[in-house]
Amino acid sequence: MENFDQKQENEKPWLNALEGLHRTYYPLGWNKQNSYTIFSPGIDRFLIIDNYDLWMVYETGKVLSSKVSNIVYVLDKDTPNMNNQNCLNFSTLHKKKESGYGGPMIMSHRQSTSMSKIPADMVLEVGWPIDFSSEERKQVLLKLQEYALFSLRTIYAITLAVNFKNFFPEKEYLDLFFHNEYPKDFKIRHDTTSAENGMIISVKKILYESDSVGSALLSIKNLWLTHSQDDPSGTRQLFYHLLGIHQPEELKAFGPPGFIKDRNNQTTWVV
Amino acid sequence: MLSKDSVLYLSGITYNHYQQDFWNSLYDGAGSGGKFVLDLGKLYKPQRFVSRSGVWSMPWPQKIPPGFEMPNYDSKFTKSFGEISDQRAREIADLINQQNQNFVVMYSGGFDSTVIMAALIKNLTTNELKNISVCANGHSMIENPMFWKQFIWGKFKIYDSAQYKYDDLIDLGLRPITADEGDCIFGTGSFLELQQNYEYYLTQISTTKSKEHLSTLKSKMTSPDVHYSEYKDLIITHWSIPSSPTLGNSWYDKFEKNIKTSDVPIHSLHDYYWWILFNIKWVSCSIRISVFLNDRLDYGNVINNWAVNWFGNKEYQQWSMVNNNNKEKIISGPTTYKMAARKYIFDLDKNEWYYNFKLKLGSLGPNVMYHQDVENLPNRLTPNARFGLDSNYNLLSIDDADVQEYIQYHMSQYERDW
Repeated sequence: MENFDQKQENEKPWLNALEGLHRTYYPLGWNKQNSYTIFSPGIDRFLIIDNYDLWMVYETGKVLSSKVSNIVYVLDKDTPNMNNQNCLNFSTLHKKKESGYGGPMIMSHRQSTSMSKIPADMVLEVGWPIDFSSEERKQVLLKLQEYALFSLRTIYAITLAVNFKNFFPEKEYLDLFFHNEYPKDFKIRHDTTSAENGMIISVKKILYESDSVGSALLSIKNLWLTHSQDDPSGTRQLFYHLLGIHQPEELKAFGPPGFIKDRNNQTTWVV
Repeated sequence: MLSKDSVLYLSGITYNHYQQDFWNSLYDGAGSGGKFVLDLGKLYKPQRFVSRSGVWSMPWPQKIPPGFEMPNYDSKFTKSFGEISDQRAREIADLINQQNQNFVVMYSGGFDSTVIMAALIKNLTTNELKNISVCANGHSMIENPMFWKQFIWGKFKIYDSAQYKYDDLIDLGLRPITADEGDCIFGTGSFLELQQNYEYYLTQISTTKSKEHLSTLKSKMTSPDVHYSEYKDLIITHWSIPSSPTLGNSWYDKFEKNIKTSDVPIHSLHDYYWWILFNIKWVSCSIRISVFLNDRLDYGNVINNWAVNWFGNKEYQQWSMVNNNNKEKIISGPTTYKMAARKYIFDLDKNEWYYNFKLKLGSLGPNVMYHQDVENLPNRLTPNARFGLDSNYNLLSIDDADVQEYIQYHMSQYERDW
């Protein structure tokens, strides 16, 4: 192993943040829009597209895998102008050359979401998928696309809300850095709520198991209702704000962030 | 010991890392037919064809193991897929009630093994279901998560398929139920792969006229109105490899001879690919788990007395022969493949997502074989070294001198007869 402590600055690639293979995974760095996609080999079309965050898209692929197997592609090459209004008309020409496990080929594809980068000049507009040509089937596919977009927005919302507001992140730290190095009976919290697995995991599980946007929203509301009554962090409020909808009235009644209700039903500061 | 006249039940030309040097070493000395099957083995991995109907030759003498013959075609057969599945479950119930047999379903979460679970859950009593276990792994859960949560977890004893092969399960007194013939009943992953890569294959066709003709036919691959021969150039391209430019043509001629000498109607392109599995790959699908996921050496006993091939009974096969091009096997593409199975499962689980979007996945490679522990086996008995079975159910290893001599001899003698 080379001794990198002794090397010159120009021999340490990590000191040059603007160069390196990693930048090809982030096409926004060269102003390419809409470069993160979820592709369904079964439908043989791009299901949704996102402009901002590869990892949010990957998490969305995972929760969506209970409904449709998928691949997250990074479009790091010049590709046709796709968006969420037209991407169901676009497919790929390169499946034959992606024979590895997790790829789009039927016999090697997996139900669990895989990630891949797209080769150049291999995305093409082929029209609406033949399996969904009837009006009834068309609506089924559009429902799936809406659920995927809803899941993506929800994952953005819960991830940002928890990570920006969580002042009790012990579970993550202990799992990462203290495995088998603390008493098993420690009471450890994921976040500021009382959810056993924390809100991020709990919300993703709801997305994985729900049948529709409506039932998912209801389950998420019930989750907050059960586990966030005494949460002063503002996580819940930020979550709904990021999701773009109002908090349900029952949740709003818990009061604003920083406050809880005392025995006389008055709001007081938490400290 | 194999002699030149020995007859085989199963043989595989398998270009895996263990066997490929041996197969490559045969090429120059092979006859024209031998070169064809060696090339085909590079495309169709592994190539374990045994014909059940029509004319089809292999380099060595082969015959169908008893019990795996194709039933006669009966155009008047009318039982539905659901009726046959319900009846199949009742047959299992009878074996439980009359002989107290115990079964374990080899469950992947895919359509075929989910049909088995659905049939058993629909038709067996709570008491009868106590004799049913499930052999699965993490991917089985991920492949059909809601079915796992709703119908399997907490309701059946689970065995880990990464740890329990057929021999382990049989040692526990459990008869494995496999759905491995499901693809043969419905069609083939090869067809879906061709459909999925249609535009790619068109780019490989040099004749503009043919390309234009084929581009008008993409939506008609499952149509009874278009004969498979309309797709001849596409089929030839699909069955070609760069190192053997004539392979596709040779395949087309050989398989067409088989189709024309069989009495089962083959019409659409989907029929064509279905027939590959239903006819020449059926035996392999039926017994491959018994041969490759099983370290007991009494293969005849395992195949004939222990393993239960769920889709292997006469009625499923008859259903398969009379339900081409009527939207029971496939409507148009991958998310409408195995429609009869989708409907049967939906009738129980009401899972619209699985019904509408589930894609057929290959199960054997990553789900089963990949997990096999082979550390305690001598090299010649590891699955990667296995060549097949002779007609006395003896395991044939590619490492054995008599097997190598047998293969070499027949490869050198085998000339094209089509």
